[in-house]
Amino acid sequence: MMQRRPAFGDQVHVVFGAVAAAVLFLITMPLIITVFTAFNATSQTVFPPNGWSLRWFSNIFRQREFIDAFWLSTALAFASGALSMLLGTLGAVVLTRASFRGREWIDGLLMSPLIVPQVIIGLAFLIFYVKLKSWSQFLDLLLLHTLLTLPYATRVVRASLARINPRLEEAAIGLGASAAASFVRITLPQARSGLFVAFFFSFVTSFDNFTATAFLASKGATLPVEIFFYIDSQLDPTVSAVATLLMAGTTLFVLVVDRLVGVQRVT
Amino acid sequence: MRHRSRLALLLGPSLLLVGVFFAALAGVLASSFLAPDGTLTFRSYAAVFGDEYYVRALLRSLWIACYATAISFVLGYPIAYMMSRGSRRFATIATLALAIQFFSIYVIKMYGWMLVLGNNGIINRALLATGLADAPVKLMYNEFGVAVGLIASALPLMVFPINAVLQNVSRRYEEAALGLGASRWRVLLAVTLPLSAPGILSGIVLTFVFCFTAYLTPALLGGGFYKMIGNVIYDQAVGRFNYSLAAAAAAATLAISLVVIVSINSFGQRLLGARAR
Amino acid sequence: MSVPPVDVAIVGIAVAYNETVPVKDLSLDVYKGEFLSLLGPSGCGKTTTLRAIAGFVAPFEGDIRIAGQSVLEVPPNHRNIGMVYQDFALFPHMTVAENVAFGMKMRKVPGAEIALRVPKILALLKLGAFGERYPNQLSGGQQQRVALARALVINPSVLLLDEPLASLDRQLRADMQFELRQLQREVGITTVFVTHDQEEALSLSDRIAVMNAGKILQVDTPRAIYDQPAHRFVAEFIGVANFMPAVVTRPAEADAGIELAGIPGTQRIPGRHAAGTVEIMLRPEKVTLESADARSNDALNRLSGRVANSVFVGTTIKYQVQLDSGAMLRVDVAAGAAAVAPIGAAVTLGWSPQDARVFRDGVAEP
Repeated sequence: MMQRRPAFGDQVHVVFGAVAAAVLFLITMPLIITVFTAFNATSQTVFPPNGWSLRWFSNIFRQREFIDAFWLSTALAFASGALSMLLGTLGAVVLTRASFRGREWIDGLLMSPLIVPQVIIGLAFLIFYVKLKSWSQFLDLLLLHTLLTLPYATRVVRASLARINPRLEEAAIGLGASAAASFVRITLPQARSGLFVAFFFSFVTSFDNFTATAFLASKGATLPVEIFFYIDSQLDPTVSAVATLLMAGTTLFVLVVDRLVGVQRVT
Repeated sequence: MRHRSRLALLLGPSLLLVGVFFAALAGVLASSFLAPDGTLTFRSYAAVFGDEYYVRALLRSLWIACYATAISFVLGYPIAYMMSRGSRRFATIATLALAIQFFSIYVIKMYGWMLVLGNNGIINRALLATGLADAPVKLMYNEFGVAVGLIASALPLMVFPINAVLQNVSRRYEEAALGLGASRWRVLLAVTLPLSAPGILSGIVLTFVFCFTAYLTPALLGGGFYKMIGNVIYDQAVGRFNYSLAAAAAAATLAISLVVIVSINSFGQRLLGARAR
Repeated sequence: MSVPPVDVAIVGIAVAYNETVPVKDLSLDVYKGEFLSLLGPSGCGKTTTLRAIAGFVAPFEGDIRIAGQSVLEVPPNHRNIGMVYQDFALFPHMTVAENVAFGMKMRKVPGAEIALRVPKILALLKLGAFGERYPNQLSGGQQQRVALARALVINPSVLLLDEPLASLDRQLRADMQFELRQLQREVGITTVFVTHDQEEALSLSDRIAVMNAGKILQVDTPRAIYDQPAHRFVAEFIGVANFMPAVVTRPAEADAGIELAGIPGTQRIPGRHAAGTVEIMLRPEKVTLESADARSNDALNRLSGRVANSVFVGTTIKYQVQLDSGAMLRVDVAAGAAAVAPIGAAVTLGWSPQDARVFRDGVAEP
């Protein structure tokens, strides 16, 4: 029996293309609507807005909690991102360059925070801090966020180290460089974008984290937690305005990163 | 052994951190078995499994995680497929849309869905304006809202691993099957889908665990009317300081997650192992 | 004939590499200024041996001496060895000039001197115009020259080449072979070259060390390796060889008499050989081929058979001849000499005792 191609081309592409486009539109729509509602003239978060105004943006700056939370989140994301990048690089060097028994095991251990659900990580740290020791809110959160972001950082740096030809370091040593010099002069410059991506990834993950953080912080904590409690109590367009500013900031951030390393490498 | 000590030095900080993590996890397990006076007890587990409220929350979470994962797969596979098989333009747009999802803050994404699904949301306003409904339809603060929120936020978890695998599956296989006379749908079912099985499996594992242990989505889109096990754990631990009950519920949740992960993986191993033979 | 001094001496080294021992009890002398190839199939330990000289692999037995000094305690970054890798391992984030200058910088050579030596070596390797380019802006042949320049500019005591031509395409490889050999002669540097390509080893080397399964089987000039292989493996690995099982029936005679398996009559091999089973090795070009009825064949040993297959390759005609015993023999005949014998034609093959090599249990007998 002869197979005939359908005259209008590839059915699978038509159907899948339609489904994919619809789904991508649907999951993007709420974010677009959020931006529009930020410019509402009234306190109703409706779309399309009934009149335009910037009052909700100025309202943000009257909400001290949002400003404080933003700075806390930024500081936390910066610190945990830097820490994860540093520790992740050290770990990645060992995992890519050294061969020893139990390496798979250590790799699994370092990746384990990715497998354990956030609620359980949050609860574990809550009980840990309550029963054993709590330093300060910032240090408690820093420990948690570094743990949450370390697997990403390790993985990203490891991938970028694995792309570097190990013969290069060897060639440098053969030409008279010490092991440390060859790492600093040959490997590190080539892994630079990897380190940056690791930091960036960690920063975003930390800034975004809600579930595990919520166990350690009620009001007066990170921005996502602050937003959560705000939404829980009232639904006016202030949160839309915060969201809009964050999205604008993120877009700017992504564009800068894209300029530096290319966004393809990040996602 | 200079070499070994250098390894230890480089890995030390990371391992210390992970060590604290495991200590904290052990603390959860310990709390779930310890009575306030320090004696060993199964009371917390009895409290969890003896109370219909908690058992229901567990079963409800399992149920919604199952079908949310299934729907995520049905909706996510076409995206991953088109990202690797479709036009370049589609791939760019899809990457952009998923990047927006990835970089947007989870709380804000859920807030966005509240603006869509609420009584005053865009859907209800459209329904009322067109006269399709004469009172707002309840789209959130119920299971439907939670399911929508879960699927929307889990989609990237499904799409990324499948896409990663599909990018590396040569299209020559599909062309060969077409050349041998298979229809496009047949090629999809008999060639593309099986070859992307590793990605599908990890997508399913990630999505299932994410949905099963969700806290934020049911908290906002369920609004207290649809509580999942994550909400129960949070309420007990943060709201009531009942750490042992929260720990028992968490241990049960983790155990169920692990059983699901292991069984999906071993099922996958058997599936892929059979192919290798 | 004076023997040049030994420059690199490998004395009975054994290397544990990933918990297997691909190299054990290996000894090799490399003479000053010579071009020596380590030739063998992949996994034979030739690269491991090279890396042991460079210091990236530490032998747990034996010694490695360069210019008479043991270097086992010298770390690789102080051994002063020039190495060129198969993929060249050029630093992608440095220009050609920076790549070449790297080794001198590590040696704290003053900047002014570096500025003098870099253009000099680049000119020697016809790279004068490429100093400011990055490696990915160069062709394969140019990258290869940069790798050589980088290795040579530090005035190394030994040059190690790890299949540096393998990643080049055929034509370029042939050109680079000549250039490499000429450069090595000009510089006069002791060179160890690793390859699995027997033709490359034959055409480049002063001497070849043939390796298999972690051992050196034979070290000799290309000519001697080809004509007098010491092992069955060497004979098989280099060039084409016919092997015929035989039994020594007349051991005592000056040219021993043998009977080839499945072929009646006595054939002669050179020298005295003990009784027992041996293998006779014949190179295809050492066998003559004539029509069966020509009768002019005056070779000492004769075999009859039929042409099973023939291929014309320009300078020669390559035959496969099925002997009466059923065994297949490869025979190469210079193309100018005669018309191509048709497939199925009955032919007489002839061979001289001195062209044969006798192997007993895989080892050549004198």
